[in-house]
Amino acid sequence: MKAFDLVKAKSIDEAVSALGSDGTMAIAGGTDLINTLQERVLAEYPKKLVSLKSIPDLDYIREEGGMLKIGALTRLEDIAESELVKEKYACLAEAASRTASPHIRESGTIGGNICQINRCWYFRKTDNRFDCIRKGGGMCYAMMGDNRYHSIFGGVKACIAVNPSDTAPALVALNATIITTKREIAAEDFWDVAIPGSTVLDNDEIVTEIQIPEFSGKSSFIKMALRKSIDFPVVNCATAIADGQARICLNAVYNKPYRATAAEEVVNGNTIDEALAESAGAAAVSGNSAFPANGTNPGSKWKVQIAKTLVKRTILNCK
Amino acid sequence: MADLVLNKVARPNRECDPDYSKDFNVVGKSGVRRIDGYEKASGTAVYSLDFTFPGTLYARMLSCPHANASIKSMDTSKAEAYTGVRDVLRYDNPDPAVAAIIPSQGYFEGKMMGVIIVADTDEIAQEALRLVEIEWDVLPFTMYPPEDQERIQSTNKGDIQQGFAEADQIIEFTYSRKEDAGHVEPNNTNVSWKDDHYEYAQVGQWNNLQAAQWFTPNSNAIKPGGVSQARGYQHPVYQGGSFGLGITLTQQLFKITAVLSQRTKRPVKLLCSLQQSYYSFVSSDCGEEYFKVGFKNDGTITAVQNDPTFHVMPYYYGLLHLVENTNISNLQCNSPSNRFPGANRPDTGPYRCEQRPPVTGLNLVTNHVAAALGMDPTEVALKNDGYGGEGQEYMKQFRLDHGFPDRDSLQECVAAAKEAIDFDNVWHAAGEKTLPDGRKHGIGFAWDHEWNDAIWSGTGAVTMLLDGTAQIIGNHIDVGLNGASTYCQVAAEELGLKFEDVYFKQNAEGNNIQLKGPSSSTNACVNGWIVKKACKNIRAQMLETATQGVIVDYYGGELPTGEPGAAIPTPDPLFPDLQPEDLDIKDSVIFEKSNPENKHTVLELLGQTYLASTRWTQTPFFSFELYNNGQNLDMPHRHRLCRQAHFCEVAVDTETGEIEVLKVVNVNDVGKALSPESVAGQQYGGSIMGISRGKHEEEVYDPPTGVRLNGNLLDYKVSTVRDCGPIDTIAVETALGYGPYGACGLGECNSDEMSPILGPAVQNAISVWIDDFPITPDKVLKALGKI
Repeated sequence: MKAFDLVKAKSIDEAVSALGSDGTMAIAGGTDLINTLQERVLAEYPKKLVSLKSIPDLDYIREEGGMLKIGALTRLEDIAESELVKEKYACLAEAASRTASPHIRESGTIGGNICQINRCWYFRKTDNRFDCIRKGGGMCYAMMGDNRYHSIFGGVKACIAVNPSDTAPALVALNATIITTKREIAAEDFWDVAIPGSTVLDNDEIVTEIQIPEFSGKSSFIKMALRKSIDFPVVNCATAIADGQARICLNAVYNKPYRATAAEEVVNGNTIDEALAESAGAAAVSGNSAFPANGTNPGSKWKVQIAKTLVKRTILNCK
Repeated sequence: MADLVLNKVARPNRECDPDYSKDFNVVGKSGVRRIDGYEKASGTAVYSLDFTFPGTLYARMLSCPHANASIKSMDTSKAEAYTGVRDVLRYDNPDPAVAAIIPSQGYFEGKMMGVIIVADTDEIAQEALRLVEIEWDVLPFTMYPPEDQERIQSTNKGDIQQGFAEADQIIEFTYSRKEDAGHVEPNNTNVSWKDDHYEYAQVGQWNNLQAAQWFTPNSNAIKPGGVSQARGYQHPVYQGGSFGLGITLTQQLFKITAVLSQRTKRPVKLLCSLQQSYYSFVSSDCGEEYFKVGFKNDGTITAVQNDPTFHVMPYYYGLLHLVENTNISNLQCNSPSNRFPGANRPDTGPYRCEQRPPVTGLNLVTNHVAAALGMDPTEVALKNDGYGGEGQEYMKQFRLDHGFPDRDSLQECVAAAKEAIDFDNVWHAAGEKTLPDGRKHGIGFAWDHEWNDAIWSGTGAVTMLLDGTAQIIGNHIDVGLNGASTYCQVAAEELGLKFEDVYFKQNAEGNNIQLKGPSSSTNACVNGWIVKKACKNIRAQMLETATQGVIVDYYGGELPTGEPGAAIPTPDPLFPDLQPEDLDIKDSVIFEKSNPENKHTVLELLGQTYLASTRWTQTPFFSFELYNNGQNLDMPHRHRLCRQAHFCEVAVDTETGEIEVLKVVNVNDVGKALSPESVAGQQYGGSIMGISRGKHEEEVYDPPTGVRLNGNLLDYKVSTVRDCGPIDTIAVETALGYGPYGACGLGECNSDEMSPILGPAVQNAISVWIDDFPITPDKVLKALGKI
């Protein structure tokens, strides 16, 4: 791996200041970024990394002021094992527990998990092999290639890479707010950005905290992946229902976490049963534009069936 | 004399080891210390990547970025000027011997080619490589062989048409595989070349001197001074995460690194990226195989036709294990006449066992027949069990003729497996069982012969040391599980020593004694034989000395001048009035069989040799042995007799297509479990690997470019232990193997047999055959009509 300067920030201000210079990237647990650098995925290699892990007091889980507050550097394993999170915010605890592998959860942070770069095996091919549209190139190779793991709801500026975060849909379902050094952002807006970005963060902006309003309903998260031990999701889904109102979010199906508002409308104000959940699942994927099978490429229509099922099952889990 | 030697070398044993029925003291014992355990568990074990010679330079080689391309022009001036670069070797080097090792064309994406950078650090080598400017001539490519391949009858046994005519039913199916080598440990090679000798340490199964030496006589580039094998110094290193034969690449990397070391006059470490390592080999090839099967309504299979198509180069087709395991009389394989269809994919090798295709063929044939008839698949297997078209009567006579116990291995394995899986309660007709959570339950069966102790050869030695312990001398390939401890168990058994009085450690620094090599398969049996034979010799030497005393010829007590020599204190024999056959050795004590209180320790005997003659050297108890099984897997009159039988329970989610493996039962007739922990470990590992291959291992290429999309361990899905349900491991011991004490090989078995088992398991769950492996959720959903 090519050498880079490493700044171990001692404070948020120091980190923000260091990130202000060109060719600089932030790193926390490093479980996504280090591999990205090792494989020379990006067109531009950073000159400097700013480590956020050395910033004190950003690792916490606490209830305060009527909300759950999670420091950006809180490890995924700590969230997964938190009795508080498991009891009141079950979908988030489950999402954290299903992220990657035990080793990665011991290192990876919630901040890093929601800030990871979108996944596409063309974009992530070693040595920047494909000059794809996400990298400023002229085309999306996945559109014409093997897109079995790609978006089922079309592209963003013709990019069909997906957001792979497991915790992101849980945060959207729980109506979380992402606190950064510059602003407060509703979770469902946090990833609402055109390529090449994966989040709305400026380069000199870092996530400091995640706030979740106190939740008294039921929530559920289900992840479908090819392996249990370690994998990004084929599809995941988080549903939170309180006072008859549902927030349902799929991920790995679109460029950003996909809030299934059509499914929410089916659920809202109604009694949950198998038929209702089935209808909500169907509504969630209505209007999808999944890719059909083509030769050895199975396309992404299978993900539609899975998304529909996960929406149904998470709703039933909240019954 | 030459005839005698060749005869001894070329003829493998075809009889059962009569020692199979002895009372074992150490062999088969659980809980012995694992010799490599501490180093591996503590992280102190040295692998090739950890190894560096002092003053090492680092080398990196270009990868072809296209599926098929050659270099039009190359500008390496920026790389040559990069600080820290020591050497740049190009494909167009004026020295043809150098140019020969650097191809100018890459015939698959990831092929190592074009240019090599040697630098002070790996980082510099990698950066300099990126400064090389290349104009490519991108050439047409193909990922698949032509559909209209010419075929030849590579197997034509009996009368295939007659066999189909005799059948009550005929079925046809085609199965496919897409898995690759799943290579984990990055390839790297260390070579330090001096004027009169060389040293090296290298990853790969073939990290031994024979492998390196095989090609040196043909290469002027790396043998300028005629350096002999005796001047080659191997630094044995542990192996990690590779499984199978990598000779082509390993030799090539050695050759390249040797050239680099010669040129720079420095030690060189050639490093491959994980992708280069990953692309080095695919498994025993992806492809499709068509089967047409005729059978009677009682499950008797009358004819099997097999038309295989492989993407690159197959090693074995679908019929091999039908020949070696069944009484089916009529078999025909119409294989491609061209074994190298020329697809632009990585080279194939017998990685993760070349037997995978014919194992799959055997199991899908018998399971398809069982499903078509609604029969218990074990009944179909038992009905067709045999060898070369011959049935159980022939097999029984063969066992008796060759000194084997009269036991029916498959019957015993099936019975044990059925009991473990609770077959009578879990078996059901296809599609008939739904679990409480709504998923469909399925159960699959797989069977085969057990791997025997073939192939090839090994050499080794055992010596007694003056402290009363024994040492095994040789290098072995670090594959399998707990091999070193297993060899020590055999040695302790034969010598009558305590386990802790025997030791084996990789013997570095130029030792040309290779235990099982150069192959990596069947280590336990081949090395077990070597150690057993050597220890038998030593035991005889020790008992003879114990009864006759230390024999020292000092010119009859005279000096060469004829004058009386100094008195030599030759001790009396420990057992002066007994013969060797009157004695036994157990727990490192020599004793009189009929009077066990008449005893002396082995250490006492060794002490005598010290006093008599060997105080400045080792003891006289030493034996070197060679063992050679020939080069064929299955030799005439040496039929495989041990069998294996496995079950796998699955739950199939019909809404998501997910398959969960609920439980696995492995039953392997290993003949004799030399080390029970090693047997269980191989069963666990094999099961997980096999299920992984059947469930989600699939190489994916970008159709328009031929570029591999999942050449890494994240996107290429290899199962871990957390991806399978509980695995019951059962060892049946019939002594029907050709190895020591009737043992046979195991390591490659379960990974092959468990690969196709999800096919019948899923069929049993959802009533639909999915023969397109891996059986991923999209295929399940498609089979169910959900997409």
